[in-house]
Amino acid sequence: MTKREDVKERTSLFGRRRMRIAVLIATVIVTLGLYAWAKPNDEVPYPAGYRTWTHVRSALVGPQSPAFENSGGIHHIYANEKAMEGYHTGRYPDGSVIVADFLETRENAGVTTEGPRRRIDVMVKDSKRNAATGGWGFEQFRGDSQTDRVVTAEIATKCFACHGKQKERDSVFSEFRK
Amino acid sequence: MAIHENTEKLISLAKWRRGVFLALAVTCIMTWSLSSWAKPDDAVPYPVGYRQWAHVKSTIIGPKSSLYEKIGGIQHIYANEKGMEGYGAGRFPEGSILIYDFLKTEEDANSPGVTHEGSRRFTSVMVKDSKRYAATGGWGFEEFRGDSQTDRMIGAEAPTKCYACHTSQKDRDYVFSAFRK
Repeated sequence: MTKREDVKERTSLFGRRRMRIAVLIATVIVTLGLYAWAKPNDEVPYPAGYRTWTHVRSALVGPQSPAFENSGGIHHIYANEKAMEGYHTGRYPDGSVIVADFLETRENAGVTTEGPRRRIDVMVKDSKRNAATGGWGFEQFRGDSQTDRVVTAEIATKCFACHGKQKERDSVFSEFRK
Repeated sequence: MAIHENTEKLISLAKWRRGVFLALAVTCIMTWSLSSWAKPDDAVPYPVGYRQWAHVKSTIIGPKSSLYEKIGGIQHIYANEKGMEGYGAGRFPEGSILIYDFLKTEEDANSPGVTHEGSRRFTSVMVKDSKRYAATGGWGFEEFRGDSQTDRMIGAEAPTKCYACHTSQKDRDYVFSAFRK
């Protein structure tokens, strides 16, 4: 009898353990699911490796420009392979990424060199996610940071208010300089 | 007899033709092999497709610089994949190609203070081939005028026009620039 009771107790203990593990697993799955569902999936990812993409063109903003305080210096535009297709065809396929790299400049005896990074501006083409802004997602990353994001929903609307004017060029201002 | 004569004539014509054809073929082969033998195979090839390579860094030479008249404007440096390895390692593997692209600059007529890229002055090229260019640190040097792929500005003058200065960077495999992150 004692033996049987012992077995019963053990079985119930085993059952309780199994129950606990099941509850734990369910909790983890539900949490993960909720997290993925709640995460803003329209976030523009940091464009890792853009410095070795194709260099589209460059421009300089000097002290005489009203944009100098915020954007003075040298700007380089880079494009990934899909965006390069877009520069040639005028239509940018999904997955196109264009980066405008804003650097300060330093001048010495008439020779200007590149200084620290102000920010990078990123455009990512994803027609479904960004249907309201011409298929493009907009973001800015401060300095060399990959996480310090500048663009809010309101700013993105402003980005598109201007870029959207380039309708015939799929909302892109720049052209590839040969 | 007349038929026989005719046949003989035809045969001799065929022989003559074969002779001409052979002479022509021999001349062709000799010309071709002579031209490839005489061709200076140490000529630096035009770097086709370099505009898609990685952008290393840029500089601007303004009116206050003494170099302005000759090379004023914006300069971009580009590197092929092997060249990029070299920037990482400090030693450039065979096949490394570095480009120094010299462009003029133009002020934006509508936005004061904004400067854009203008026409190309010339493209400077460095190619790593230790055997061919043993006398100049393993690097071949050339410059192509404007957008031309054939108008060469350096040719045999690389030792004095290029290497004389690059030799100061011996510890960096004769390369001045560094990759700007």
